[in-house]
Amino acid sequence: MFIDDGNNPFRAVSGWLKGALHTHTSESDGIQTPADVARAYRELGFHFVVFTDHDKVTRIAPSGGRADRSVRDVPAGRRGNPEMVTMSSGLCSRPAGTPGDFLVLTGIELGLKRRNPDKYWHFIGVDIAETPASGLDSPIDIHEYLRAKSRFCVLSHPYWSQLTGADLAQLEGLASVEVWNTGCELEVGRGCSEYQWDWCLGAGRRVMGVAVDDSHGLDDIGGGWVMVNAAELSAHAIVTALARGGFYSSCGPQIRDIRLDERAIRVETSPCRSISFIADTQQGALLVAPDKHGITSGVYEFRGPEKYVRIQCVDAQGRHAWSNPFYPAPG
Amino acid sequence: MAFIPFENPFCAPGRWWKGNLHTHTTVSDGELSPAAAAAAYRRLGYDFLAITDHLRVCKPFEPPPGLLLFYGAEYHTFSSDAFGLRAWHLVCLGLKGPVLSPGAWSRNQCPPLPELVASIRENAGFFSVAHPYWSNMVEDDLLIAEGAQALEVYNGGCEQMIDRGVSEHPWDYVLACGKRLNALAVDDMHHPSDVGLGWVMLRAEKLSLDVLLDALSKGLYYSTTGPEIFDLRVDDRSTSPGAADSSKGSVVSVRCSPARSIKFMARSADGKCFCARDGELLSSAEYEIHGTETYLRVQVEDAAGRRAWTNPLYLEKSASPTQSKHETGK
Repeated sequence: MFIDDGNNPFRAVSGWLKGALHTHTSESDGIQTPADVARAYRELGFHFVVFTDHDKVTRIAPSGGRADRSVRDVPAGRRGNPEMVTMSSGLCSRPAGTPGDFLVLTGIELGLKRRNPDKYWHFIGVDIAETPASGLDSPIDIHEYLRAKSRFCVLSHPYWSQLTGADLAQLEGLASVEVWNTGCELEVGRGCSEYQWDWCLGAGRRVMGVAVDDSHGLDDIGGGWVMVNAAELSAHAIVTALARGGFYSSCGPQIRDIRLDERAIRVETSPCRSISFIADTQQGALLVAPDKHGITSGVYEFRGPEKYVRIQCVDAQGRHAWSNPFYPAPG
Repeated sequence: MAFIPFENPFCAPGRWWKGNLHTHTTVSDGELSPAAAAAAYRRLGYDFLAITDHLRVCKPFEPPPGLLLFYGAEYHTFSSDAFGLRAWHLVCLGLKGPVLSPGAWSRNQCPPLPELVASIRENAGFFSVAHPYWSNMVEDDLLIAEGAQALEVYNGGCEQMIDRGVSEHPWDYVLACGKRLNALAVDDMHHPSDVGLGWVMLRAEKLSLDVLLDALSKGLYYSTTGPEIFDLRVDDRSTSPGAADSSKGSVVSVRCSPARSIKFMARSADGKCFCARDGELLSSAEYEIHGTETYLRVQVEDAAGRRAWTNPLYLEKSASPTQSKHETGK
């Protein structure tokens, strides 16, 4: 029986924060400086961004100087970069979502490649303070390292990486996968990894899905994001919410409410071309809008055997949004 | 790298024939009788239809004028591993003899997958792996479907029912692994509302079973849920045959009905996505081979989200493979 177990972000009373979990800066192979990346996201209405440069933890540097301390460690009024002080002043004590507030979280992307067939194992860790020493030479080593250092880590772009659902399911304790990666979509059409996510869920793994940009320049900023229901705009509150599934992911549509009781799950969205309830194979449902005005709600009555149900909606432009999966209560 | 000679339906003689290759009727669990199903498709302008009921081949009947009928069947079994069950549904056309004996499916038993595949390979002129997404297939499963000429990249019934209609990922995965596999869009029609969701456009000189089956086996078709593909060309600018990178600089071009995106899908960081700007649509795109591709397929999406898929072209590895320009990648 499905129950609302308290992790439904739509039952929380906090505010919604729009965030970019996977971004690159000029500190690795991104084009823009960290400050420019942060500014670009802020101008798009984001509340926070995580810098996840390859193999290093990027901090906002004092102008012209070198990065020295994690943003989250520095009191708001004492940041080296005057611009960042303006952007983030007083952020920790205000209610989430106050206009103008913006937060940068540290993070990292670690990865390696395996041959035959080529598979790339890339992970991001959010809110991580240290760049690892070398010596992480297997996917499991990297994953275990990030799990130990970060409360929220994500397996990146499975479609681009040529990873199968079984590859993901073999990772013990995998918390989440990128169901959407804007950069991989815009470059080579390999942005969407719903197939692998569902396979993992069907195999009984409880894995969350996130939408990210994996931005390397200004062209791939703002294509996919997470909406996090957090108590406040602080790294701790955001990561706490992420870790317990207190978010949904989107490339455009809004998920406005999800309610469930023992009989059914209901969703309300911005106008959509379709709303689907994706469950393990042979369960679930697709609701298609009868006309161009779209639909804004849907109900799915549980049939009984579902091991999970997640909600996905698609707007008139073909952009998707994804809830995290809901699971039946034990017993 | 060099292009492996391929059967390009857009250069082949003949004309386009529209057909659905996965149909259920009252012979198994479909809602319409075989005759009603045939009539429904003919009304929509289809030229051919494969009736593929579960485990049973429908008795031949007089089709509506202009519609050619394949009498096929869909055979199923299961495989399993630590992660769970997979439902193998194999859709067979051009049957020359019985696939196993009906007793192989008695008392809720299913034949072992290798036995089923062996019998299908012996008796069917063409077979495809149905709806991988619905079947919960892991991508590696498809590598063992020896002899299958195609998978269903789109299955309309599975989409309508539970939004598990599109199986692009497993297709790209097995292509990246070096397997050669084409793909079909089908209705998997069980109800009248499933008619006309996905179909193939097959290039052949005349509408006869042998000719169409031969064209299917050669991959002389593209699959679609709406968009039309008008042309796919390879401008092979190989300068010195046999040299490494001899196809580098060759251009693959496509023309299609108005599209929001045109994707050239290849391995991982190879390939390219062309997206229309807001308020505009694309009608053509060109892709320049950079030398590390092993396969290339084109996928078109229109403003309503409907898609079309060409079959893949293949490129041969050169003696000294060049390093991918995207080697470090994402």
